[in-house]
Amino acid sequence: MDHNVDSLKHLQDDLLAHFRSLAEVRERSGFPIFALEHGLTRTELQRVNTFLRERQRARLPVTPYWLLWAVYASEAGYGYKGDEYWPSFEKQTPTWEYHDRPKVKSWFRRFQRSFNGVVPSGPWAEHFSIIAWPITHALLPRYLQRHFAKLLYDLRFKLASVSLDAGMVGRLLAAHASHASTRFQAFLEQEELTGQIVAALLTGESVDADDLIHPPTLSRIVADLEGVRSSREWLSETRRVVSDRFKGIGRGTYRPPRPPHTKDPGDPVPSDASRFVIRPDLFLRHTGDGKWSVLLRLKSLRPIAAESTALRLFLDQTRCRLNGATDWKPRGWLLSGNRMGALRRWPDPDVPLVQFERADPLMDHLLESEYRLTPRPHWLFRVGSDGIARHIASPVVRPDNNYILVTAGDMPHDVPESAPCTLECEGVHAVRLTVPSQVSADTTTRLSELGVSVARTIRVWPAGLPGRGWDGDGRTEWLTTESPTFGIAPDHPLDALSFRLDDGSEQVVATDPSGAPTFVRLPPLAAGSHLLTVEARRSAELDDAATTPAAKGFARLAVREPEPWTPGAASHPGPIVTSDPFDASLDTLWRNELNLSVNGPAGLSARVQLKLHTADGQRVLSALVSDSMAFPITSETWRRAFADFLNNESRAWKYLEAASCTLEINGDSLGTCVLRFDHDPSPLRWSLSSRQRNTLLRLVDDSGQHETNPDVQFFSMDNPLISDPLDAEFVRTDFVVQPPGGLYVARHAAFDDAAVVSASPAGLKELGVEPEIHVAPGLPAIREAFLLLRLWFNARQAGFLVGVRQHQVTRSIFNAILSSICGQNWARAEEGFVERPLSPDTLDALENLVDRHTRFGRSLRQRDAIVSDRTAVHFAGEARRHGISHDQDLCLFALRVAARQANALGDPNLDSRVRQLVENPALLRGARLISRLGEHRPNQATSAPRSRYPT
Amino acid sequence: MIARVTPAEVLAHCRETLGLPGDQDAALDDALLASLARRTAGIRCPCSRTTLRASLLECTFGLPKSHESLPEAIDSAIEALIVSGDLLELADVVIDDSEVRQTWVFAAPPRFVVRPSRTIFLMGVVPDQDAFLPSTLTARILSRGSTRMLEPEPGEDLPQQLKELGLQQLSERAWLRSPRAEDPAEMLNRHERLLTNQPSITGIPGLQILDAARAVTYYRGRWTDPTDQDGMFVARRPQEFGVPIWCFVELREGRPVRLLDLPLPRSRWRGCDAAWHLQAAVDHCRGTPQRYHRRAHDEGDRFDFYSPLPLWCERRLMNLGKSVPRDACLLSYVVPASEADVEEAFLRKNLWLAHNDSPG
Repeated sequence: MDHNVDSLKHLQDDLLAHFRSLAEVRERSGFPIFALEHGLTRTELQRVNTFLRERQRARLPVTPYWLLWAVYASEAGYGYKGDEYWPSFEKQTPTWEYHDRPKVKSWFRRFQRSFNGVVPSGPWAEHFSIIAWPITHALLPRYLQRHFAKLLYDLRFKLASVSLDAGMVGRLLAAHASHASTRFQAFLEQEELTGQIVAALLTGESVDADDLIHPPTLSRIVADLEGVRSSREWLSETRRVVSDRFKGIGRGTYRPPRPPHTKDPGDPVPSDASRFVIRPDLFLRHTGDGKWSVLLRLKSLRPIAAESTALRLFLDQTRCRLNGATDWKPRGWLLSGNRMGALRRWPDPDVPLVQFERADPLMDHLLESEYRLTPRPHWLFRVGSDGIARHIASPVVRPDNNYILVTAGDMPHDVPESAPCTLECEGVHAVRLTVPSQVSADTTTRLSELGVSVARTIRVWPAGLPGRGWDGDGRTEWLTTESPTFGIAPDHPLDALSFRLDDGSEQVVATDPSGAPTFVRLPPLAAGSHLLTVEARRSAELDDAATTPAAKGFARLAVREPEPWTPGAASHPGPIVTSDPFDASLDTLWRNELNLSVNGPAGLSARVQLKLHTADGQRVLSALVSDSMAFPITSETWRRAFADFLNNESRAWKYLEAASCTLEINGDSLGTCVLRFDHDPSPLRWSLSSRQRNTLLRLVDDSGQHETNPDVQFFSMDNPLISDPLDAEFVRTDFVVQPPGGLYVARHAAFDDAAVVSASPAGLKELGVEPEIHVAPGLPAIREAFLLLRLWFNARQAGFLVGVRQHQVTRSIFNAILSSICGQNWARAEEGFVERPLSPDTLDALENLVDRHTRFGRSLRQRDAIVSDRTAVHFAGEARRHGISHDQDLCLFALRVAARQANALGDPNLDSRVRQLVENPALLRGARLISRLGEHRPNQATSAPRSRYPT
Repeated sequence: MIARVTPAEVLAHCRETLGLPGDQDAALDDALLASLARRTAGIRCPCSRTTLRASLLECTFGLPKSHESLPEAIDSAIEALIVSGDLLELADVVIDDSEVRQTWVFAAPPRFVVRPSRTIFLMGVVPDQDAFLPSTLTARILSRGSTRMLEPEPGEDLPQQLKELGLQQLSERAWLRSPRAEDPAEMLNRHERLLTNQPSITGIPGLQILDAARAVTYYRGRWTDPTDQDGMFVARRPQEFGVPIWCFVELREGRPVRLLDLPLPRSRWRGCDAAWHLQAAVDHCRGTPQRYHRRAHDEGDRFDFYSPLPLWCERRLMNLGKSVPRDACLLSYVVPASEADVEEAFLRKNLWLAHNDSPG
């Protein structure tokens, strides 16, 4: 042991000296130090591990060797697989116990004080307050390395164009990882750190690596990254693309990460937003028989959101609607690739072309500057030979071309050279204009009266490589990697052409005397808007003879970075997938609450495959949801198919193990679209597994709150309102859930987790549950019952038949609450009605019991029993007329409770609403009458009503 | 710096950008046209075939070309990309407007097929990148006309690498899917019955018919305006925007009286594929089956064809062999000698073709 102590002391002293020296070097840049930068060889590391484990086994003090322990813990962080840190740590470290965990934090805090060690930051670090230290100090844990290399590869063109600081690069990465796993997103939240790693990985030897990451540590990470072929190739390709253009990173002074609460509000729209090409295109498309539809093409806002976290969050969370359309587009619609939408009504120029559900100062700024249809007396569209009429900004027509003239007012009767034309869009009139090759003076005059002028022609077009977004009239889009090339052909003799790009100097190019086109090439341009001005130079003789000034024109070049191809991303040409919510979690998917629709050609179908993965990427399930779903797939057909898929016990078990899920929608020749769903782990969470058909449950507590114990309670399915406290120590290790299971609730500090767990039934008769519930009269008991009902509703689900059983429990609680508020007489009357719904006697009994002092019940019964959107209005009207309630919101709440709708429980004023209902039982009885009549009207669907009243 | 460039320099710049070999003075050839068509599709798709054509005509205006007719060469290039799977032409598609169903050309996502020779057949187009593979693999791509191949190196698991890069592997069976073999008389009768059940019509401006009475060895010469013909004909009718619509039409004294659009509803095949297949049945039933010629070639057996082949048939030949310059025929393919008998049997069974030397 003495020898070991000497060795340990020696190693600790060496490490202290190493980190001190590193800290001195790093002081220049201010970049923090990571425990993984220990510089120990594999053999030395092995020795440290062995000695520390021996000391731990002997329960010897750990404090003297805190630095070795910090290195030991960061090594565990480097090998962390993304699921749970502690099980593997405890397995490797004999006698390590739950109560030892806070020691880890103390080592790293000392490391931080001693050497300016890195401090974990961001929401993830706040929630996982202990394990955040060793994982952050592991720099780039192995399980994230492949994701990191792939992200750099996907962003290689964007990285190649930046000449920004590390924070900006970090933000770029964070913004493009919206479909990444939660932990990877959390890692990317450390924007300064990731920016520095990018610099080190991509610039390699050209950067003074001492300023960034200790070279042996960087070599180790790079070697591990390159040990996997795909990562090696992604890195290599990314390095190639950025090699010449990646500048200015990693040299600046390190700034500690901003605290999360100050991070977003000050995050502006990039000041040079003009670099981004986002202006929507309005165009018409021929649909046959002289009819045209009006469409709006919108550019993806991903590039601009990449540089503004606040904007990205806003777009991620807010639905939008096109100005001229009635339907709401799902959240994230404008982030998921270029989009198109038909307008049934001409856009109102007074409001932006896209409207959002709620206001946002940053988005409003963009909408005002980029998303306005310029108000005009007439809008002009140039008709192409492909049946597309593109909007042209300048009201200039050219001989031998076709146009559509659109006006919001009355179309003049005498538009020259025109024919009637139908737009499938309200609010405007249109004519088709055919400009002859020889335009008469009269036509020119009459067109000019409409604000339209006739141009002499100097034809300009993108030559060689086709121009993006070319509208045939001077507007086009290029990439920063391209050299825009144009052809120019005047229809009259010229000596030369002069060109000017933006505010640059004029360049004169002689034209071909034979009249052949002239070609010019521009250098690759920086992202943003550019203006190329072209002016005709006539010969002196012609200039003297001419009565009109020399022709002058311009081309607007919108230049942007290339969008890298992302396999399976939504910008994919097809199938066209819409998912609402845009960023649904795995739990939402598994509850079958995802609205998924897929458009594609009739006659073709999609094969939909679901894959579940554990946190370390291991696949635990790969199963077909459907081998052949015919296009178009509506959200209804999707939900039906997925409900069938979920009705399988073994899949329910696999779901318990999963941390993420991919849904692959394979449209055969159309390609595959991949959607990803993550389970967001909370620091305090129930972890489920199965062994020999037993359901095992365990509480994972990574909250780092070791001074207190979590409060843990169990509510059985048989008695769902009676709590049974569970011992915090007991639930930390796997225990068997007894059938039929129940609701497990854990609370610790600011964290909580609730899970309804359904254990396998012993026999068929036990498939369902029959809860025993009694809610005492009076506000306190009813209020408590509502709160527990909400817990049952919102809890995560796990286990076979859990959905059915959870529904049985919540329905029973609802019934008990209703009985308590409405009274026993009412409950008996309802039972009688259910037994004989068509009997006038049972209906009379209900009607009379609604309110003995008014004719509220009678007036409700007399109304048409068909439940519709207007039911709420009628109900509130009758309640007001009979003096039952003047509060329309309370009436709506009563209807929702009466129909046992979960959204009643989401009411922000639940507590006061419950009190008002308890004080006004007649209102709830009236609502129940409406609900009962609706349930038993002829041809009423037997399924439970989902969203009968406005939500 | 704005620089004046010659038309040849414009083309040379295109070749360089698109990663194609070629000398400075090379004119616009099939390989360059195919690459430009792919890039245009990446920008424009989903769109109509006419949009692609118009865009390509515009950007190649005034540049030196090696084709007699540029519009025809562009049409052929687009057709070749559809046959080779870079583009998908799909009928009855809803994209952005649920009330409008049209025929659209889609840019196929990056994918590949492993050919019997183990060579990789690459397909697909992405919007902003001419090459969707890392530069090491891009440098190994062999462009043959409109097709792109990758040869695996010894010991290399190329399919796995491509899958890791996000490319979709198509099985040979899925890629070469074809309609079930059918008796030509049954097929013709089915279409005739459907046509007979169509309502009467009057006058179709610009209608062109494929006259089955004319020689099957000169396809272009078979197209004609209706004059005084009687009977049922494969035909095309123009539309103001977009490519002509394929149909099956009944004429009385040269006047159309009934019309059936092709393809039939909910068919997965294109209008032209349905029409060419039907015409092969018509010709066979008339006792003048369409012809092919088979002869020995340095790299296998050469097949010459005198009528267009439906996509599902041409893809088989493309998968096994390669397209070669035609000689007094409409199109030619060379396939390995070991596969030639099987392919010949397929042509006889599924398209009812007859060898040029055979009687009738």
